[in-house]
Amino acid sequence: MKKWQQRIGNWFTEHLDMPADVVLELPRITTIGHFHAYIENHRGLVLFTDNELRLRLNTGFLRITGESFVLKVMLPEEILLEGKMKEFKFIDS
Amino acid sequence: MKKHTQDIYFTGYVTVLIKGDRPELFFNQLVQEKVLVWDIIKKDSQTCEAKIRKQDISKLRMQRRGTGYKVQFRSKHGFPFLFTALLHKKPLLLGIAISILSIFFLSNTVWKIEVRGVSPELEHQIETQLDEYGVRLGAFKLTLGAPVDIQQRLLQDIPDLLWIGVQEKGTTYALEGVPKTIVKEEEQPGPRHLVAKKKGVIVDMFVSEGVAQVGVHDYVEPGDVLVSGLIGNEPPPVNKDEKDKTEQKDTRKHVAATGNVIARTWYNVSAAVPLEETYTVLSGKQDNKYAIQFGDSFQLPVWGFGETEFKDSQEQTSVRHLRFLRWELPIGMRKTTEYERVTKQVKRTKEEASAQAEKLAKQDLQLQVGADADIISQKILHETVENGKVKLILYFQVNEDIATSQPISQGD
Repeated sequence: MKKWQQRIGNWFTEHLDMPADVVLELPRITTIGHFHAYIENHRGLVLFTDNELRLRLNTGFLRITGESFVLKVMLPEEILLEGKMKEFKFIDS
Repeated sequence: MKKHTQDIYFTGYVTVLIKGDRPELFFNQLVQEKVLVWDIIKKDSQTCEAKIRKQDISKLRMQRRGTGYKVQFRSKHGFPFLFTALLHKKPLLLGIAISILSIFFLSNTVWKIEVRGVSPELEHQIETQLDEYGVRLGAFKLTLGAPVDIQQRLLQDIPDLLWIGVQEKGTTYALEGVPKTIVKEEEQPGPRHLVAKKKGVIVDMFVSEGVAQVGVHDYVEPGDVLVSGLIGNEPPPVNKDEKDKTEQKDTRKHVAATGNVIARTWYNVSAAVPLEETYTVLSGKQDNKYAIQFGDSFQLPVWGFGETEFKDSQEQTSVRHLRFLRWELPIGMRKTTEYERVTKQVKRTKEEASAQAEKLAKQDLQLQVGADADIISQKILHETVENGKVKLILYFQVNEDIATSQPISQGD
């Protein structure tokens, strides 16, 4: 069932030019330079420290490392992270 | 996102510390409950600092229950907290209250009385009168009468005043007076005659300039020249023979004739007085009521309750509004004065009525001829009683000045 849904989604994005994050419920990460990261469509906060943020995604985790992190805004599916970012890493579960 | 945080100062927000094992996970829980959280900082492995809105505090407490996390409130920000903090500063509040109250009182106090347009003596007199009415520096304005009342009382009490304007300019009373004794600079009159303005028999003359043309006991008609303004001999009538030789010139001098010419004049005056008459007068008794007025309609009586005992009365009200700085407040003191009115009925005998009529006629005449004239005799010519009225026709003899000036046209 899930596989079938994804296949239809893929077809939509490829042939109808619809944004992938909407159709496939994938996270969208927007960064401004190295100091702002705006993550939408995450599935919850797993870890947050001064130099690391780990978020649960539909498929695995996102790990952001850097320095002096502050969560400027936190909403159920959105997070605005501020600080000095060094690395974005997707981890499969 | 910005939209949420813009008005946050007005609703108020707090900084909280969350303590416990992996405190950041607590925010997941909060966010699910639609609690807005921002500026999250990890202090150390056991502590997180974050900011939440004031109205979310109760939600935070609910969520904390049974989780093992500890919540500490660090600092409060925003207007509501500022306000409550202010409320707890009693001396400050007291100070504000006192200052508003004093501005209020000072706005309703007389600070200056300006009197203009009158001599210093009269000014002093006006000031002492005002002081008697209570209008003095430092007086509370609500207790004073309206400017119109002050004006009338001043005019009544100071006979030397012809007119006085009383104006209330905020905390200042500006009075502008016109004294009665204005010495009018007499214009140098041009050449003139004195002529009679009424018919009469001359009884006395005093000529200070000019040539008298009439004598005592002469009868004059209106327009007759009494005192001529031409001094000197009249030029002799032009002789036909001499006409070509020399033209006689008028050598008479032109002066402004002045003098008094008292003549006996006579008048017929009719007057009627009813035998029975009803009229209403104010007895002089009055009743004052005071009420505090809010807006235009609501009144709260403070002094003088109940109905007056007067059967018939006339009412007069005046409202004085409280002031705050320049503004008139909708709160004011309303003063209602009830004057007792009495209906009087007079019945006169025929003799009384005719005496009254005679008196009235005489007063009328005196007004007509002026205060300088003397009424020397009076005589009832005709007396009738009809329709309940006594009608008199009277004959008066008056000594009065009948001279009036008439300019001499000098030609060009």
